[in-house]
Amino acid sequence: MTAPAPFVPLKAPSLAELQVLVVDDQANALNLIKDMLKSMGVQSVFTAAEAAGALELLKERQDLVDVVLCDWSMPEMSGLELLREVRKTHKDLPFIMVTGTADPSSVLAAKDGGVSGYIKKPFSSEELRKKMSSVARVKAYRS
Amino acid sequence: MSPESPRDPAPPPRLLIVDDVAANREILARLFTGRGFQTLEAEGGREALELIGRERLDLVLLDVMMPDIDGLEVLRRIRAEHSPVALPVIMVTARTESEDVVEALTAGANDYITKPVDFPVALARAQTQIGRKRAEDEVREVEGRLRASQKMEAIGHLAGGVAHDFNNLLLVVDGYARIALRSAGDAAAVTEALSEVLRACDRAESLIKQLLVFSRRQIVDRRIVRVREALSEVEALLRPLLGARIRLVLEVAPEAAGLCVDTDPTELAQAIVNLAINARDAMPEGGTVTIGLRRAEVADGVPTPGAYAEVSVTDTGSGIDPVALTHIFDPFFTTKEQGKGTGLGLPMVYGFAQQSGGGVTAETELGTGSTFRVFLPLSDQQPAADVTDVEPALRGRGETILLVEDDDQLLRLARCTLEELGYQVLAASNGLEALEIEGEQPVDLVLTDVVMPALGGFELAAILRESRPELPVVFMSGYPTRGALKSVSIPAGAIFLPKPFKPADLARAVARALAPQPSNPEEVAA
Repeated sequence: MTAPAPFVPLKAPSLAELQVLVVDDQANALNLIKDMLKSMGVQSVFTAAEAAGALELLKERQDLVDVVLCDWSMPEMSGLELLREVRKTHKDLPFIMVTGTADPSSVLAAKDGGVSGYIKKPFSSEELRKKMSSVARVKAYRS
Repeated sequence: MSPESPRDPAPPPRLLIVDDVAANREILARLFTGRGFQTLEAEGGREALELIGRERLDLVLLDVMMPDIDGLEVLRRIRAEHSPVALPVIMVTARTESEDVVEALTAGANDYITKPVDFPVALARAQTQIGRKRAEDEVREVEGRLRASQKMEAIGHLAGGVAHDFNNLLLVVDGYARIALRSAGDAAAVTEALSEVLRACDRAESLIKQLLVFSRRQIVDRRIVRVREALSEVEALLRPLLGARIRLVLEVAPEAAGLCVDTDPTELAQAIVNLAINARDAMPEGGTVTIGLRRAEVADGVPTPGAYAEVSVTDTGSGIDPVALTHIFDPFFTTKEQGKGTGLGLPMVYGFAQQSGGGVTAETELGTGSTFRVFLPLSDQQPAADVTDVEPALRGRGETILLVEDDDQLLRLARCTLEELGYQVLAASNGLEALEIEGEQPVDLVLTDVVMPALGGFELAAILRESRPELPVVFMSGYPTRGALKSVSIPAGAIFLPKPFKPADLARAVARALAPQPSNPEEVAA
């Protein structure tokens, strides 16, 4: 094969256009993620304190959401249940699970449910930014 | 490192000295403890019988003349419970009591010594009895193993796990076949449903392959085995067996990835399954089973000093109580409820390790868990595996491959094969993860599954090629892709690798994709 060209990391795509839906029943976590996203340039952050609200938004205005960031454990409807519900209608929507502790069988279930990735709590802004950059690349390609 | 010997050197023989005269007992005790025996003493028949009922003993030295119950009577009572093989008894008698000697021997004494005791004779006779008992124990152990098929337990468990998996697959096949029937007019829906059916069939095929690991049955089918590969196969088998409450972790030390041993791969798999099942049963509330592999330099302990592949199975369970620990390798010894275990699991592991020229150790801590380590002597030969059939021209030279596959099992398999072919592998279990990795590290080629949630292989390739148009991509696909996914644009010059594939197929596809452009397909396809 040809001599390898020096590796240049990709220029981080702009996150300004990205529209993120954050679902978490804990207000402080919700706000933290929202602030992190804002500080990395994401301008449209929607929040839902429960799965039902998220489903509502996706149903009414799916054009407003490029990615779902969802807490794993929520009362009423869990993140996994929300994921399964979302996948019924949105096969291509990136869905990232935010988890504190996840046992392997739940991870497996989430995988079967079509999860696009995990962010393990506690996470740094940098980890979140990497995920969002990937989503931004997908969005840029799709539009 | 220097682990304890796989099965501790025979513990000191335990001797019960029964004599009503304290001085006699003391003299004998001193003599025997000086020769490595552990001694217990009883000053009468009653106490002796009580000790025999309570203690594990290897030999009894029994004085004939005693005030409470006389020696011959004690002997008869011992023999009512214990055969001469299970508990040898040497009678101690005065020279004059020859009728007693005859009577004692008739009643089941193994031997006798006369008073005043001639120490060398006493010691020799005692050692003869101990040696015989131990030999008999071993013979019984071997007979026990021959009588019962060691495989039954492992196979029983496996059958359960496989049946469960197969049922799930049947459900999928059945469900989608019905959907296809119902949707007869809708070509797209039928195609999608049939794709799911084929996908389930793919999984069934790999399930069958794993099961076949256990069906190769010759008496001993030794060959050079790469331990890591054997563990990966077993790992896939174990997941359904262990159930949802048990986490299974495979820890392969970096230097251990290529370790090879000369053994029977079926038995190796059985041994690990047996250990893992025990680990599972030690954790009814759930926990973690860790299967480890590392290289161990043994200075002493295991049969001969040298280099071993150390396969360990660790649980976070209840531990083994010290009394049981001394018996765990005995055939038919089981701590499980009636019907739950045959007691053949660990003897099988022990026998297997011995036959392979290695050994097995057990460490345990009550309430914390247990670790079993199987030591197998390293072989410097390489397995005659498929990968070695791959011609050198088709091997890698350290190129980095981004491998994207949402099926864990296939991911592992492809990763193993690629690493053996000489590639570096970055693994991602979905498209987004792949984008993340690719954004940070140089990648020479992308090998990706086609159908994945959120971001499929084709779209992933297209996104990656926006920034690196020359990036070679190989698509792994389980079903007739071109037909089923007509709506998605197939990247130009795409190379397809149909699943399931053999290592040589993978090698060829990757080499072809990496070949300098413009490529000469005839040349590479050779």
